[in-house]
Amino acid sequence: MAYSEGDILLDATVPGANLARLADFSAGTEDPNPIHTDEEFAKAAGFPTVLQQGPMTTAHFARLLAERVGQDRLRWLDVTFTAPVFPEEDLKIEAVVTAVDGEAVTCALTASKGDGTVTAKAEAGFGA
Amino acid sequence: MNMDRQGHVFPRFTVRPEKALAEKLLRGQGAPVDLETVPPTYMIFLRGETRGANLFEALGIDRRRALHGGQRYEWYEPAAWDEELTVTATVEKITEKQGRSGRIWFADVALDYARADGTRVLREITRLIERE
Repeated sequence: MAYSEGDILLDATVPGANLARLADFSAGTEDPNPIHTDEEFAKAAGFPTVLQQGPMTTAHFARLLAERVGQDRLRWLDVTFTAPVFPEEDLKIEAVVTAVDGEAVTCALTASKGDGTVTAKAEAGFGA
Repeated sequence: MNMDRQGHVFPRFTVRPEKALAEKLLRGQGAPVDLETVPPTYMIFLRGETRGANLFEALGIDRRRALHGGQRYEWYEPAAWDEELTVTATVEKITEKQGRSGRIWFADVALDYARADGTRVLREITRLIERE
């Protein structure tokens, strides 16, 4: 498929995760960190409540991009977490093509909350 | 943060993608449970914790002061269900910076996943942060 700079690849909203989903994600990734499941631990760490796992945002980026362009075409994904995500907070996931070099396509991705807070920025590469 | 751990290579360990874990991962995401392929981010450093590569313990990171700075994935070959992959985890870089409320340490750890014949399947880099 032909892509051009500026093409919008993703413009989706992922519903906020409840505590059961956070527990499932921790179990599925074998993550023992109580900061995702234990409210008192999270408060002792200085947060108002438990934190959604950063890798869940990475997983959203990768899954949605794979659905859009094909998992076998994904080459790389580089994510920086910029703000915490708390339970029940929806995330808007956006991706736009930033460069096309022959068969190599690069895109920029963001995850943001309803108030506009950007919680993660990423860049990804895939084969056209 | 144990700064002297820069360059440390953990004992190799193995992982086998399991559908039961992937199902939980997908349910956690709120995604459809489609198990046709191994989810792209199924391989994750956390699986090393019970397999001899506990990054938090080795780097001396207190989870109460820890943050996850980011992740990088590089996909080379598709992984298959129940396929044994050998994982080599290396502490690539540790840096210290002075923040507004104290020192902050950054550790980049790379995990290389390969098949028994040496074929490279995936590289994952995780960026861990500890606040003073």
